[in-house]
Amino acid sequence: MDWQKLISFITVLVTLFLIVRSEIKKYKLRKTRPCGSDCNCAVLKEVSLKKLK
Amino acid sequence: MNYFAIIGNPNCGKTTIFNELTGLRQKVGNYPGVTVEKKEGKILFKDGTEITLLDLPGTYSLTANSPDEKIVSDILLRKRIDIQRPEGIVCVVDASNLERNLYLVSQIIDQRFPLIIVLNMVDVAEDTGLIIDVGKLSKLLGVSVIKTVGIKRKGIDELKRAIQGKFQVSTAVRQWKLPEIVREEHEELTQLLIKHNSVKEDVAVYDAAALLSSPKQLKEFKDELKPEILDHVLLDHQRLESLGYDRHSIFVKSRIEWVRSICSEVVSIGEKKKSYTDIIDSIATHKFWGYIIFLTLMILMFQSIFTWATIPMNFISKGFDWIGYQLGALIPHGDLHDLIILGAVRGVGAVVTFLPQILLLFLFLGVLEDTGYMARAAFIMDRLMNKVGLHGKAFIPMLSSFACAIPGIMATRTIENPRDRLVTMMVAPLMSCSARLPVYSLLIAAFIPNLLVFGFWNLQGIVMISLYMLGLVMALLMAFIFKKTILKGKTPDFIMELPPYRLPSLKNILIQMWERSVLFLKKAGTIILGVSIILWFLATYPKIENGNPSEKLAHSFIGQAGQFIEPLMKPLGFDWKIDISILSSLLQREVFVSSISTIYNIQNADDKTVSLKSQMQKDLDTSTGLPRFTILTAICIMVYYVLAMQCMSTLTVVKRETNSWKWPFFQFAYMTGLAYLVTFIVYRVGLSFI
Repeated sequence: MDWQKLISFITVLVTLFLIVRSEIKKYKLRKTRPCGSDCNCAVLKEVSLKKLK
Repeated sequence: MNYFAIIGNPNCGKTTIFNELTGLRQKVGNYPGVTVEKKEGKILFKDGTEITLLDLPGTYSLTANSPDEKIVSDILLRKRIDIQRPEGIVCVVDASNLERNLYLVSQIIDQRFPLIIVLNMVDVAEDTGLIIDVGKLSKLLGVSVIKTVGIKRKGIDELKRAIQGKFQVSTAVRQWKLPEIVREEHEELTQLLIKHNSVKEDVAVYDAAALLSSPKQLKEFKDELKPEILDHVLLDHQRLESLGYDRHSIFVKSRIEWVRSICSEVVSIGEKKKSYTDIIDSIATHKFWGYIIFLTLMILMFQSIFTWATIPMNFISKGFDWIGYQLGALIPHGDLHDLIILGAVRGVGAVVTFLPQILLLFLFLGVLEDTGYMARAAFIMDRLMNKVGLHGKAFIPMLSSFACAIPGIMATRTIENPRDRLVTMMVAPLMSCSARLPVYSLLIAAFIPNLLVFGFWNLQGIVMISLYMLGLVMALLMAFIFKKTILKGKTPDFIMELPPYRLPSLKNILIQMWERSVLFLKKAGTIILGVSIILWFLATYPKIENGNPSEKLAHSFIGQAGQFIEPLMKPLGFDWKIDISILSSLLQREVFVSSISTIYNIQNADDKTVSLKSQMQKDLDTSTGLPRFTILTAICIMVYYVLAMQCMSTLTVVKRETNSWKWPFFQFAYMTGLAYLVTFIVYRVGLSFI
């Protein structure tokens, strides 16, 4: 395997790992932060819709 | 004391004052309901001390109707044990609407909070001829009153000084007078609640009034109340009604009388300046001209987005070509070279090119929001919304969704009825968000002729606005269907305050544009870059030794996967390259542009100068010899993107706001199904014309 191919493979694998990690992180953050980023806002559970009667 | 909350009526300028005090850049807008959750910031003083300030959604009273108002009443009325109760309140009051705003003040005073009143928008009050005696108001309320003009930063330093040392518990606690019998019942019930339910006096006073006046509150409290209290409340109801008191309004009336007596002492009427708001509103909210103005503004917005952005877009595109060329010269030919040039640089470049258009979209939306026109748009659309069974308030979340569906879905918190709120959440993502703009722009620029219609309307701009209108029409149609089927319910009347028009704040708009560009570039540098790299890999491997670039691409992972799903999308006129680009943009819509760019770059790897637009125009179907992309194909892709749910973040937010996976799954399924069906119809009808 030539060096260009090797570096490409490593880059692709690292990228895949980073994408999955960032999506999980974003999902977790959205549970607690309305904006999905790290500002000081917060989600209050009471605004979630309860089951409709 | 170091933990305070800033509260006030909707659209009285709380967030502007909060931003000025804390140096933060929370979104502000000249319409009610921009803040729908709590936000915290710190005020730093010159002596090094700091305090935490909590920005809360606007509310007219502590009697909550909608979820965002409930946040405020729950925090102030000690209903939340998980959130610290503020030690003092900075209450922002709109000086041009003093009477209405003092109602909330009187409720806060009764809670015995240390308080500072911020008399904001005094300039607007003066323009309408209202002169307020601040000294007298301060004396009557028994707290400090500071005059400010938030958007001009007037009075902010004085307010900061007051926050450091002038918080006072008002001497005007419960000065409003109830009829004697009602007062006796109220006090008796208050004492019972303190004794049996172990609540503090300030909360007991509020709860007793709520129990005596509101059937809704009684229903909510029922489980928490001891039987003797419940019996007592029911007896009180009977007694007051038999004596002829309207217990539903008696508390409100008494408070309003007190507020009016204060206003009569502190407000005098001076010379009224000519109000432009009334003159503009007579046209902007007219039942015929209102719609014409709304449509004209939308057309102007999209025409300008197309024409003004051309030069900077070309500049960025050339910049990326230059970067690709320089990097290409540094790295010898091979896989890494292709990954960087064809995958990363050109993939990301294809998306970043659209930054000027996105900035222009936010410039226009910012101006419309800041001038106060958004509230008028909601007002004129109310008639239409009402016909489909949607609450008029739903139009603000839908308009916000033109920028992004996430704040749009959060803005549904201002809607009281859970069913109406849910319907709005379900249809808001049908409004075209800024992420769709690069997809539309790429296809319109490549396939829609740059012609003038009637001598002045650009055809490309007309197609663009038609896509936005399609989203709006389909949103209304789906809302109508939902309201008639799975989410049946009456539509309540809509009352919305129309704020006065004002010149837009350049600072606010620039902040919004800056934040949007940072967000867009961050996306381009992370997820779009990542997906471009992965797509390059999938479109390059496995390799075959012989064959032209098209055959190599067809043999790659992506080519095989694309051909596997092609039969499913063939009825819509999409070939496998389009299918793969749609599939890869399930996370984020903009990825479509980078994906299609990566696929074409690999196919035409030898041609270094051809733009994505021309590559798409020149691509021929090898089996038929006909172009793969036609105007009809482009229109079908755009229609598909208007209607399909291609945004994971939106689904996550819907899950959070509905507290269930059922609704986001339903939303994904119905939007994708709708996109498929409508695109199929457009394609079939289109074929019969071509």
